[in-house]
Amino acid sequence: MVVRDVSWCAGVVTEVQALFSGTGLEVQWGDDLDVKGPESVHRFSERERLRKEEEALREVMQDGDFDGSHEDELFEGGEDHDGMPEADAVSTVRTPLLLHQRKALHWMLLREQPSKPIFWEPYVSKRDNQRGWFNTVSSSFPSARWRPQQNSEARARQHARRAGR
Amino acid sequence: MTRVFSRDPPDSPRGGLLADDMGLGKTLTVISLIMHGMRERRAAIGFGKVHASNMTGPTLVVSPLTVLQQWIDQFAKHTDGSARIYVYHGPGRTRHPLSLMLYDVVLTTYSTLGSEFVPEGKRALDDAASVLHCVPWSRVVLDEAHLIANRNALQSRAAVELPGETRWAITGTPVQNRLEDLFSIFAFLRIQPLDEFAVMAASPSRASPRRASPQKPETRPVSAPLLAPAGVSAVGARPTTRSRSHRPCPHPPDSTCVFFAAN
Repeated sequence: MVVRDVSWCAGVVTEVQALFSGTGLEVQWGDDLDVKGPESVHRFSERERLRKEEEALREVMQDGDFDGSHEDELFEGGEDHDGMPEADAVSTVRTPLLLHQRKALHWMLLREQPSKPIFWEPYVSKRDNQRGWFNTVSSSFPSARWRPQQNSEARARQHARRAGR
Repeated sequence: MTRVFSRDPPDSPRGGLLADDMGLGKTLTVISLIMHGMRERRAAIGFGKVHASNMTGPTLVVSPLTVLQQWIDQFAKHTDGSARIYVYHGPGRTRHPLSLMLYDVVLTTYSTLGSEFVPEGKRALDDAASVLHCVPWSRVVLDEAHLIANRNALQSRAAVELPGETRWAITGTPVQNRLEDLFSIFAFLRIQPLDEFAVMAASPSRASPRRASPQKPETRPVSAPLLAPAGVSAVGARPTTRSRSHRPCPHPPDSTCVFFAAN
């Protein structure tokens, strides 16, 4: 199968690949993808970049315990509420706190400490050993969907940063 | 920061959203939090451990005018009176940010915050947005934080821009009508990437660009799958009974206490 025009959706490359991965059929990307002039070349590199990110993302998901079903876990909550620790009484507060307030206070004090960001997991790419972070919540959605929301300036900055590396 | 992957370590803002139901004593919990660290901060100032570079300011509490007196009363009722409180409200209030630094707690109202606020573009580049925006608050607390749900209102923008090391939004009703109401709170809490409205408004339920059909904003599916896990997961407490999530709530309806956390 030869795919010719994929410019309408950046994520389609991955989608099509995923579709054909189990079938034994080979996907051959059309040669005309990157020969339509500078605009197309740009689009192609953007696609290529997205594809790499998706690939890396898949690597992460297979790698760890991130199986894409994070959502249920998030809803269930990782913490046992009944077993939540309580904070000690504050000497300058005369009114004794109720149980749920002591728990809340403990949690709030914890949240005021500088800590590891909750929705971000550090990740080291196996390919290039680059250190990075990925968002455990949003990773279940293709990154391509967010891309159009970015303004051109932010994209340019991103490209510049990328080129600088 | 609208990328799934980030090469840069994400900001890890401190604080969160305390969404205990009404009547559970959120104010006392927050007062305890304020009193907890007060002595240390004061001792540090007294012994000269704090200098200009790491000077931390007092706690700023923003509340509606109707609740302001309640805060004052609650401080009087529940504490030993050791907290120095300044009420930043009314015509006689100080214009000097430095004098605010001498207090432990500064109380102000949303209307004061909004009326003093000079938005970006209307002020000189090196001007502060207001007196309250000059103070390096150690903690900013938004009481009744759902009042900043309108992200375009001056007081919402002023609240989001407040500098503060740790940031707390306090409300029993984080979602009033639509999940988008949460945006200002996310922005205030600096939760990435949900602090960009474009990201939050992008509904994952639109499967792909070509299948998206133009719908009225009121009926457009909001980003429940994206938002709900983000909000509820952090501490994993039970969701508030008041939340009007677009998903069925899998938790017992008698749950009372919910903590949302910022990143």
